[in-house]
Amino acid sequence: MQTEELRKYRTKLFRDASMMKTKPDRVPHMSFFVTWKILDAGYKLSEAMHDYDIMEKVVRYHLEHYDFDALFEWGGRNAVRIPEAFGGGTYIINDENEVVSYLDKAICDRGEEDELIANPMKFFYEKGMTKKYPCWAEGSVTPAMVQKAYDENNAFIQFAMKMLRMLPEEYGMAKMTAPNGFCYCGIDFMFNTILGIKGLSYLMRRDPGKVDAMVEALDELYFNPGLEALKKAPGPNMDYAFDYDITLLAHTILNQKQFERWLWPDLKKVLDVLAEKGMTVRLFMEGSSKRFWEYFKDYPAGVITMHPEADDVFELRKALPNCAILGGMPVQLLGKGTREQCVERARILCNELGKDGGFILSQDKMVSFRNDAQPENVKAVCDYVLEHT
Amino acid sequence: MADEKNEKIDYTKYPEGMKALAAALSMPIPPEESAKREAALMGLITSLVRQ
Repeated sequence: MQTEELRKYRTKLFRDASMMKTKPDRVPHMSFFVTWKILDAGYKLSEAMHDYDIMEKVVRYHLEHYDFDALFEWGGRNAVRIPEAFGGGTYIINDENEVVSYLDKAICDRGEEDELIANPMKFFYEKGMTKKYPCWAEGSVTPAMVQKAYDENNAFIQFAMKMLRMLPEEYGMAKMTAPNGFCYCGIDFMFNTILGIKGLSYLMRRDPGKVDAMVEALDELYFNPGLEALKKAPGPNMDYAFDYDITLLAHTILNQKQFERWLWPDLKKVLDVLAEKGMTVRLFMEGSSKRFWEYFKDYPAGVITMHPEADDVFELRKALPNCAILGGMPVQLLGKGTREQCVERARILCNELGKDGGFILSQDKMVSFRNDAQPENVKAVCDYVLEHT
Repeated sequence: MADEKNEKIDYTKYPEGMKALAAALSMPIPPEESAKREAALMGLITSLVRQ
């Protein structure tokens, strides 16, 4: 198959699986490999993450050694060069132990919530930057320093554009998500950046009204414009594997009541628009999402593709027959199991979950560490999908 | 790049420092389109805050 023909074939596999109307020609297979790719290609984490030419070689190595149909992560997951150009950052790269750590570094301390509610942009500019960058805190920042970060940001954008062209044009990869914008839920922003895990947990218990106000202020800035942009989307874009992508983290610390108050209202708005337009979404919920599955049960088939991280995919299929499933291959097995065990797991997944369609094989977690997967196991699973599904 | 010699400007203050910074940076947006330059700078700032 020629490259463009292959890309269209692969895209259709994803569309058929996610839209749940037609059984795909075979089970599509998505790579959810992230920093593992760097180690597998023989580079240090710090080398590849600081050098876009090396990162391109890493991605090419991955594509040339394993036959996936789409690549979720194209080398831009940890854009460390931009904050480092400004003398800060939240990632710690440890080449000796081959790990990247992300600090739970909040920008809003207790007692500062009202300032953020009053003017989030002012808060980011004055308080957020001060918390993250020493030059801002010291007041020693100059235009030349900001220019360096601005130029790094542009270099990253150029790299992203190059990679996102390379995947379909040179390797026939399905393009992952149509450019329909991004709805950043306020509570997730608070969890990831504003308050951190500790701060959000504390505020939800001590002053839930303040959480309401913060969600509202942040949604005004990011979520609502994203939703308006989505409402203007013409409908499904069959040139991409999915129309939309949502990754959620905050639910991991929310109980049912908190979910209903702070996350579900936003999530429902997005899902309702997607359902109305017949568009598809890959919904990745970190950790376990099982206690929230009931919220998704009434959406029409072919809208939501669930990508569970820590939940049983067979149980998920029974609970939500209206949702396609992406995932199922445990990183634990790819890392510690034998080739035969991995292939057997793939066979069961494809035969049971994929027998009537609605299934995309992928890894259950972002594959990050060297021991998350043995190369021969990854290759065996890729070969099985191509030859037997 | 202008304003680098002007030591009186506190670039960490919003909005006055932000406006001065947006005017001082080298961007592919003409100086007269100040709102666009400021939006581009704030895009960078929010990205820096998130990372």
